[in-house]
Amino acid sequence: MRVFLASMLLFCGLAAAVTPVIAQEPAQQTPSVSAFDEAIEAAKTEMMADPEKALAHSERALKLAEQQSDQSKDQNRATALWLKAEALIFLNRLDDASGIATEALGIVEAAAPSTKLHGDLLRSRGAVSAMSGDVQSAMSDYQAAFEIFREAGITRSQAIALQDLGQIYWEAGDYERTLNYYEQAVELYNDDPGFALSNHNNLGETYKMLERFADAEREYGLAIEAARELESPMLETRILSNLALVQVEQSELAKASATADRALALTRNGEAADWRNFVYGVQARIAYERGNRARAAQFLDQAFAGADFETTDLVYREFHELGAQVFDELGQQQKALAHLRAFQRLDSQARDLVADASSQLLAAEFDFANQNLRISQLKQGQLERDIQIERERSEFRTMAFVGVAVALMIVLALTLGALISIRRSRNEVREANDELTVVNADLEHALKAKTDFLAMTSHEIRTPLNGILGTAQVLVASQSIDEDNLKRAKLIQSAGQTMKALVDDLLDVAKMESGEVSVELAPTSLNAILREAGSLWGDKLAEKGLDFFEDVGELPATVETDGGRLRQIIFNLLSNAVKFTREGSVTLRAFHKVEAGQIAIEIADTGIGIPEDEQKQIFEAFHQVDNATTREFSGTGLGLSICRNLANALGGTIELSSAPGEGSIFRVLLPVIEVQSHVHESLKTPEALSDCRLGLIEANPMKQAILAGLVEPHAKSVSSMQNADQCISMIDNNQIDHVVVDAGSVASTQDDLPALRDLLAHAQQAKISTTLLLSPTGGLALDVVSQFQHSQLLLKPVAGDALIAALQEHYSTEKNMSGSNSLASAA
Amino acid sequence: MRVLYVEDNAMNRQVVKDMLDVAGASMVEATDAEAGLRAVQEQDFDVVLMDVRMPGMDGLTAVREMRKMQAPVCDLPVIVVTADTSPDLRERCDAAQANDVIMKPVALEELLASMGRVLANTKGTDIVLD
Repeated sequence: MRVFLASMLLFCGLAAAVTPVIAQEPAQQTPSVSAFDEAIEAAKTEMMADPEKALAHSERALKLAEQQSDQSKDQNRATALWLKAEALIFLNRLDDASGIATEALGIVEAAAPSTKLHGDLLRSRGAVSAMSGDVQSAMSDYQAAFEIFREAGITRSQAIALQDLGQIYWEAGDYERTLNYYEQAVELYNDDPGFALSNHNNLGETYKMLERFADAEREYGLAIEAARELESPMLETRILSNLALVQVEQSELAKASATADRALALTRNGEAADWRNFVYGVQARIAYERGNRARAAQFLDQAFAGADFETTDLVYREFHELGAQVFDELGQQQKALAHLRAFQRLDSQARDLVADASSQLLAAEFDFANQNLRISQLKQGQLERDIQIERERSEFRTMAFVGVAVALMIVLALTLGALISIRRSRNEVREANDELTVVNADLEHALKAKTDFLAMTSHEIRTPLNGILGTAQVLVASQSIDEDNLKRAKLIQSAGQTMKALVDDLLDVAKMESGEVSVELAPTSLNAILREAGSLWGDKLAEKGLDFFEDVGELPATVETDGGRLRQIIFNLLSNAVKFTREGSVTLRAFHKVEAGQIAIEIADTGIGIPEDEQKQIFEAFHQVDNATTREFSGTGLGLSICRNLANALGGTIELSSAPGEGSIFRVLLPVIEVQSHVHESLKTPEALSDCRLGLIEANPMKQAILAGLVEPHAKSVSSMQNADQCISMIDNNQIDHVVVDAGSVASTQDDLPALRDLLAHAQQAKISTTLLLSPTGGLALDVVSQFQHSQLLLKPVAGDALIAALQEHYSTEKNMSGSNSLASAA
Repeated sequence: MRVLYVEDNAMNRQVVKDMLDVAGASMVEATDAEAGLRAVQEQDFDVVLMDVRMPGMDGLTAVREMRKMQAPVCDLPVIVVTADTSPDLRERCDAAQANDVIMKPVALEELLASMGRVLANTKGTDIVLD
């Protein structure tokens, strides 16, 4: 019974106000329960919990009544029809309910006029009218019902009819009249605790709207007593929360705090536990009013602990508003934005509730007595709030974290767009124009904020990243940790690099938006880039169990393009292909479209594919195919936007052909600007140091860097290596023409000498010149080392200019030698 | 090899110190530009690493100050180490007569390559490989 009463009270507004009559009816049950009575009883019992069942029961009762032949037939028919109408109201089938109620009224006016049933039916029809927005019809039905109840001397029903009437004024925003009716209702009947609770809470809400907070406080106090009598901690908690908020309005913060504490104590267990978070919200409000923002923030965090901001309930609307305020003031913009977004969602939800009559019940539920009033106010206040929201929006300039906040920015920008269109239809054109100006200015602010934010973020994220990446790199390079920890350090390094790539991507996008893409065209070997991509991504694909195919046709050896940017495009597309392909293969294809004067580079996958309507949008920044995708396939959605921008900057385009479930083919088309190929030159021996691709073996990174810096200006290119193996593979791949070998780096002790000997022999065999640097005090026997094959041997310490001179001399000697050779043959 | 690193962020200093350790170079720290300017006058360095955004004097101003000082300080190679990604950064560094720029997060190879390049450029072939 208690539960039933409780839910009844929650529905005590609007159509629900009808039900107390039903609820109180069971007492009149006759001792011998006929099938008809049983059906009626069942219909009443189910009314709250399951109106569909109630409807079925009432229809069954109606059939039974039709079969009757005695004098009670008409009255029973009318009773059954009344319940049917009630059930239809609960099911929000208002047109059906209206017809049934009118039919029943016809019967009852003839068979049993001015009975309680007559009054109840008038209330039912009045409720239908009220819900359909026909206030006048509702008023006349409610008044007629009140008259009937008054003549019949049924005070309880009279009081309910008065509440119905008060409700209409409440919805119209006329609180003085509302108060008038509610006060009369209390005077007439206030006997059972359920009714008292409803009465006093209604009065409290009305006084609150009239800003008569002291009166509201008193009424809530009485409602709380009733709730205790009902032994409903849940209702008590809710009214205590209302009370606390009213006390806040009166600046009675200590009292409010005590009230909220009481409410909190009640939520320790049982049915009231569901309201604990709401109470935390109340406490947040109190803390905020006390000027303690940090505490308010804590309570808000508790109120929304574990809450999905996409789905929070309407009752939390004000707390979201508070959250937006509090976290904004605390500079926690990310949270502030989340709250603001939730607030906006609930605001629009509240508006939808007005439009959707069935949801009015829900709306009524969240604040007992007719939140509809609030909603209509909300509607009126929407404009002011929109402007307020925009104002707040433009203040959110210093952002906290990159991905989330930027994404939110975009969402909010879209929201603003939506708001503009709503308001345009709502207002005069002139007004709309004024608002547009405001909104446009705010959007500009938002865009500027985004750019500033990206630049700032990039700086702020790079600093901690410096610590992460740098330390990881030191750990990996220092070789002072064991195998397991080395793996972990590498893991940190790799995660840090991913994050760095993300920051770089964001920065790239920002630069592209402001037209600052930098492209440096230079002779570039496509084959080298494709080979590199193939070897790097082949491994990653294999790790994921995907096949990798490379199909590279005849390409110009060298074209004029930006190799780094082209690599970025190909890597991004390959990374996408790997990410969105669960099974099958990825193919990297490249061919020369000679007639079109283009190079085509294709990355084809057998992945999830992209629906046609999404194919254009996916090149927009931050776009990914639907949200579900984002969850399964993480990422920022920046890659394709960057690819397109870069391809355009290189004078090319990107095409896409794709079908969902079959896979995607991204095709990069680049113009061919062929340049004199240098490839064949690598086959012949360089004639000068400046034509020479120099390799350096030096184990000490610092010395290596200095050595590289020293020779770089004099050679065609410099490749630094740390050991003999790296060097041998570079020789085998024809990547160097000459190698400078620090003997101590290959052989640190006498025992390692064979490795040095083999390396030098290998180089000699491949016709690679070798310059050997040896420290006489380094522990290697000079007489042994000097026996190894080499082109030059220099003793350390060697001056920088001496090394350069020696290298240059080597080439002039070679040249002279080859010159003399040809002379000799001529002779 | 002696390196001076002028940087207000302790973590950044530690990272570069560790890196230079690995590379076998020693590093002296200065926590702001003023301290950096004192250090270059009092001690000998082979190269100076300079942050840009610091409380008080910024790094590029400090480089300009160094260039006004007497030899050998005015000739000291300076590498700007920054997280500043603004497009005109390199221009500003050139204007201040810094020798090179590397971006944070600092990668070991990049740092060393830059140092090698800068040393070769400034000291020319006076470098002795030992």
